[in-house]
Amino acid sequence: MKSIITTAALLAMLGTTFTACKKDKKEEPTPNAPTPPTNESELITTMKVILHDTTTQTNTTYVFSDLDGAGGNPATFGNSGADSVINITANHVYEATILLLDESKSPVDTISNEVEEEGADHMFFFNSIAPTGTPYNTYLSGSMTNIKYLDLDANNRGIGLSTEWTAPSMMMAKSPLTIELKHQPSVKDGSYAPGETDIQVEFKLKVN
Amino acid sequence: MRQLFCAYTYFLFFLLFIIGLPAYSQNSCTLSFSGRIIDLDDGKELEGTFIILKSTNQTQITNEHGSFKFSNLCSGEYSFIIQHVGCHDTVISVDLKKDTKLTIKLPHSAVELSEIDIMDKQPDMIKTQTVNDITSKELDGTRGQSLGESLKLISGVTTLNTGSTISKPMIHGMQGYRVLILNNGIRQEGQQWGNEHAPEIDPFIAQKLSVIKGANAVRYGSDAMAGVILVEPNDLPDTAAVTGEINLVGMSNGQAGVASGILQGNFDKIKGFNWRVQGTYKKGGNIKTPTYYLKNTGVEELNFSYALGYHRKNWGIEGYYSQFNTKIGIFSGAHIGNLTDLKNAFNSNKPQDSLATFSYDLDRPYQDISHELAKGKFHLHLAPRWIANLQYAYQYNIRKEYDKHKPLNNALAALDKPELDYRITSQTVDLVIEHLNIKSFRGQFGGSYMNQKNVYLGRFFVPNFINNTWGVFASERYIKQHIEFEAGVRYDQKHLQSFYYIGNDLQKPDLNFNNVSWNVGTILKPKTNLNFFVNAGSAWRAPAPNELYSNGVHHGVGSIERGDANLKTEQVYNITATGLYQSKKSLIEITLYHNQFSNFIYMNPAAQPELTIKGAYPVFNYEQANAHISGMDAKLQTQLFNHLEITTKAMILRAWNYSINDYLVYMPSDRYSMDIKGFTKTSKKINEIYIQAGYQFITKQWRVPQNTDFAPPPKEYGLLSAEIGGDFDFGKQKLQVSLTANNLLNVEYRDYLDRFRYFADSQGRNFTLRIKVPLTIYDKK
Repeated sequence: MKSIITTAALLAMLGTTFTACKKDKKEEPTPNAPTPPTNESELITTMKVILHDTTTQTNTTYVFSDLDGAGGNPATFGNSGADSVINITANHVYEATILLLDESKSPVDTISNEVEEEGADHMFFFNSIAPTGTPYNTYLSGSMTNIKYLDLDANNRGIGLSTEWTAPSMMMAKSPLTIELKHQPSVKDGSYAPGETDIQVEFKLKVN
Repeated sequence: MRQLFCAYTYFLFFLLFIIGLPAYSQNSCTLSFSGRIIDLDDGKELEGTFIILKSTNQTQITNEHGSFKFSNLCSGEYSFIIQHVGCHDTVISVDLKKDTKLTIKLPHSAVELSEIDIMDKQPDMIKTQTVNDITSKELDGTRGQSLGESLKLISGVTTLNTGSTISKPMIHGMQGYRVLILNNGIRQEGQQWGNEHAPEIDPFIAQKLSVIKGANAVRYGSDAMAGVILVEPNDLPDTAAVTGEINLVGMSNGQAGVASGILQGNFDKIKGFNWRVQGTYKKGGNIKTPTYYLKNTGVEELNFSYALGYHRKNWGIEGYYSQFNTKIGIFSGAHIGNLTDLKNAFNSNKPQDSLATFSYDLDRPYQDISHELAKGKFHLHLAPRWIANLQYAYQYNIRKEYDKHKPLNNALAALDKPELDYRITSQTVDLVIEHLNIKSFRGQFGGSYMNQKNVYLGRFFVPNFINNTWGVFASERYIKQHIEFEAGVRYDQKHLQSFYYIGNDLQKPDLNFNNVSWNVGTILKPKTNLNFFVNAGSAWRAPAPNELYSNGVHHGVGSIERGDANLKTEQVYNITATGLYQSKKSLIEITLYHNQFSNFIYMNPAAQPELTIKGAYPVFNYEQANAHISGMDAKLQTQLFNHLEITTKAMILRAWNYSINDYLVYMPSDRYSMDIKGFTKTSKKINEIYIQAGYQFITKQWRVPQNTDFAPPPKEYGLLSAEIGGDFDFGKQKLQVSLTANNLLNVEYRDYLDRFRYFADSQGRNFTLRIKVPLTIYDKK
């Protein structure tokens, strides 16, 4: 009896695999070339807001970028900082398109395409307000601007990559405009609270 | 209200001291027990024999005439263990009514014939440092908990938590790199660079947990600044038997189950050859606070270890292998994007992702950790009383952290890779030469070497590095009946090469650190039952790679951490003093300590959050400051009416940062606890049955630096616990059963040192059923 147990115990020891024996060769700490990590999530370096003025048929682009990601060099607004203020004219109708890019890659990766593909898990919010109505509308009380969602996900909820902006009257003051992308996997219901913030950029809006 | 509560607690403790006092004064403790130890065969007087008073661990050593003496004993029955090189342990019982003198004959040569070496089982004598143990019996009451939670039984030890499943032990407010964990004699080299990284050790390996408080660099390595945690299994068995133990634990909160087993024995045919196998499996689901379940807080763990030993008269060899594997869910409501998310989470009454029903589902975000340890140990008797120990260990640690959401790109997401993937390989060699008592001197000297390699495969946070460290040390102790002295010195050198990229440029900083650490100590033993331990020492540590070079978002924690490549060596001067009074019925232990730091490395929150495309992130910079941490741990235990035991503990800690002239951040608040245990022997079938109630009071930590935290510290709280248990006999089979209730009143609370406090309440009421079955499968007798 005893020798059976003893033998079984020894066999159990031998039968166990050593993790370290299966170690990868590449696990050497001295690198020669910058190898991009195989499993890094996309980096979103740049947000572009492209405003198409349907009255004058002109495009204006506002850029916010952080080319080396969080940490490292600080993020900046384009045009030497002037892009932090978005200018629109009262009573003009604007079609706004949001582009998300990874400019650290070559060629540049357009992340907003993936947001659109997974629209049912993502949603843009303006000033952290949950939109109402059909189609979705967000009313920014400070600038009296109305933002209408032009795109829809598979569940007929807005995504916000494409929107229509209108403001009835000129305002002397600039108002805050925070554009947020929230990742709401299987919890997206049109409300703001659920999920985690993927993008959050604070612009100012001036109605001329 | 708070003041009232505190005043009430203080009053209770005062009352207990008063109740306790008569117990100490009523005994007339003036008796002595002395004697002479001689060899049974040749009548030679045996010098250097240990005589240990079993109830208090008080130790005396025979002089050159084989004589020893215990004085200031109370009248009563005592057991003494007598240990001598090359002899089996002998236990004698003495019913002390008057001063007693005995001549004890040890059967010396009879044992030598068995050719089995037992010399490596010489007890490590009482150290001049303050050592607190969690004994096997106390450990039984913590089974199923993590290592960090088990260690909390010791006054002065707290934990830094990430929910209830991740606990990182803190000694006197210091954690991480400053606390050294020795797992079965090997320094645990896991991944210390995060506050949510718990030690990768199965607590079921341990039959005893010890904490040595204070700087203890000389013997264990220069970075043992706050103290050392020893995780010690039993010695391999040397009797001809196959024995084992099964532990089963069930917990109501999280509906968790743990099963652990040990089997050990030796070979009849090969004398001195013995073995052990051990394994643990644990599975738990979502934790419940008093009012809601926390999504994704389950855990799964599978660990095993085995050991083989072969001992001859003059040498012994031991092999050991262990593996620790765990998958720990991180509460998904605590995995935040940026500062706005954090503020929203903190301001809501009920966290996001709180659930109404229980589930075992374990999804992203989670950690997947494996730790492997292989060890070989060889010892040899160089000459009488001289032993050499040589030890080699290999450790491999994989830490994979999975973020809450997968990549947006579906092809990448399908791979389901961890976002952080770190692998660290450590090899250590230790050589220690030890001499037992030669003319009242006992000491050791030796050296150690460590080679460590770190690689990352996922997102950058800590660079790749190669770390080579070596050290030499010597330590001597002078032992007399009423006084002991100890002094030791150590020199270490560390070479750290790191590799990381800035843009496309490879950075290869190469750093060297070296320094001396030392300690001196004394034990004063004016009476047998009264000891004073005083130890002073200095220790240092080189800045770690993450403190030097980390730069980026520590995901899940939701903050940007920035290292400083110019950090200097951190140094501490420590003094720890303990007074210990032990009698048959009571124990008083008071420890006072002071740590003076120069260049204390800590994370300092930056004034301005950093703007990123994901919004604003709080920034923490690694900085250095001069600081001190000092305080007191106290324990009072007293037995009343033979059936009642009252234990009270207190921990008080103060810490100050001289650079900002404010409190040091993340320090444990003062805390007090009281346990009342009633026990009795009832019938033949029930050996002992006990019932216990405990109350723990944690004060609010208001000693925090101004304007540096996301949210104010949570308020004070008190937790009530209760336990009932006993030892039973079913025929020949013994059984130990206990039922424990923690947070009995289901109090809603949050703890300052729990990172989840920003998001959710702590664990609610929990019932734990523990069953321990000792097994004797085969016994020659």
